[in-house]
Amino acid sequence: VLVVEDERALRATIAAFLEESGYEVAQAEDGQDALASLRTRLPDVVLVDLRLPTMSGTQFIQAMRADPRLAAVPVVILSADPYLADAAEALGARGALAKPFHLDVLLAVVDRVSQS
Amino acid sequence: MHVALVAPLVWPIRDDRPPLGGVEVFLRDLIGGLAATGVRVSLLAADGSRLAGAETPRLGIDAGRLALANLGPDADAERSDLPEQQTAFARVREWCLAHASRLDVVHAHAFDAPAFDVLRVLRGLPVVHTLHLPPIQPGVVEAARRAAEAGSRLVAVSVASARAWQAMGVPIAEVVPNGVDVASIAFGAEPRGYALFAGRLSAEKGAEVAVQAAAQAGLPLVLVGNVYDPTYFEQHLAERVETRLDWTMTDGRLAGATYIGHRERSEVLGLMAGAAATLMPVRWDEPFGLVAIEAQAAGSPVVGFERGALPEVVAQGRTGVLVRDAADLPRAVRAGLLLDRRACRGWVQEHFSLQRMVERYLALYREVAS
Repeated sequence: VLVVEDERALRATIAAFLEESGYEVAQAEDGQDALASLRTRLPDVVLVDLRLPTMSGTQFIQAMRADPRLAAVPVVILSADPYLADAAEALGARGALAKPFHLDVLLAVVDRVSQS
Repeated sequence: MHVALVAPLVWPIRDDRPPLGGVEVFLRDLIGGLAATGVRVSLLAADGSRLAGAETPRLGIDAGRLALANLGPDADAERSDLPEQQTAFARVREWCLAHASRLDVVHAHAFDAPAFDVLRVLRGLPVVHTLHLPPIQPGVVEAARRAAEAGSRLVAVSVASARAWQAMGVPIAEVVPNGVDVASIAFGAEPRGYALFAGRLSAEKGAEVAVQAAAQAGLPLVLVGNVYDPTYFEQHLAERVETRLDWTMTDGRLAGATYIGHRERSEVLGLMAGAAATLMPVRWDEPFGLVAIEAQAAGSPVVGFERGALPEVVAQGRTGVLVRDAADLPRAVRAGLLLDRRACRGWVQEHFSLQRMVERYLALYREVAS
């Protein structure tokens, strides 16, 4: 799982929880960092915060979609945006989680998307 | 031993201004008690916190961006924690992990779902949560249950509260009643002819019931505490109380109900020592009722409703009078005036001393740390 979240402490919490649940986790703090990570290894799921510095989550997902090698990687978006469901649909995301979320709910979504 | 105490993050915890609620009073006393036994305490709280006896590292948590818990009549609605709440507790977790090699236990006191959720992932550091509130919010109840399943130890502050949480499927490891430092509370042998309401002014504390009961019992009432819920204050109290924020004990006789604002704890304890009775007509199942033990320690009998933990904290007919019906409150207030004020203090000294509480927590810390 690649976790793209600019808040370091939250990113580390998500990563630790997923690791304890048996996932391998890579972390990125913004869209550029995430694209660099994707060049070295393709994950089963990308968790991405929509509000990121330099390159926003939306721009990052659009960049993924424009790259044939990355276009099919499932994305789950994390956001406090009240129009989260609309954003998820528009971006072709496989899941969306409103912040703040229960870690178990996050895990259930990651399980579902990674196994489908 | 080194303990990290996790405070509610929605306001800075400071000893140079009046405490915002019972949990802050509790934390001050617990820190004082632990420090006196040589325990090193780190208080993980909102930026701007400062408390004698504890180090308060800056975590980058702005309390102004977080939301107070809704404890009112609609509290059973799903609480909408802010995203910042989750981030704030993630920062607490980050600090704990960075200092894990010298920490023995993390002891949390916050009533937010992310507090339970995020602190589950502490890579083996023992975590204890004290549940200072009833199980009124489904999101918090679920997070607490999952935290217990993951190995966190949950402590209730009364048998009544433990039963309420257990009834919601949340396992309670232990009941540790709150305590106060009785020796530091001045005793009032002679009441000064007023009843007292002390606590946050919000629906569940029933201040407007106290106003009516005191009037019917023929006693003036002093109300002291913070306006936690401004809408409640406007709708139920503003026109029924005289607000005198500059009132002092030397201002002479009172009439009716007087709201004197939010005062320093020492001043509230002084008011308790002078109160003929302290009224607690609570409209929820009080999980403990710290005001009750403070008031009794100061010599004031407690009169209120027989709900939640109050029957555990008040010795019925000896240190207070608890009733079920508001219509019985005025008679209960008059009966309370006849009780022995020294017996009130003795009851607290015997059952709710700070020393007793600190010993119980230290034993729990040692157990989970081993």
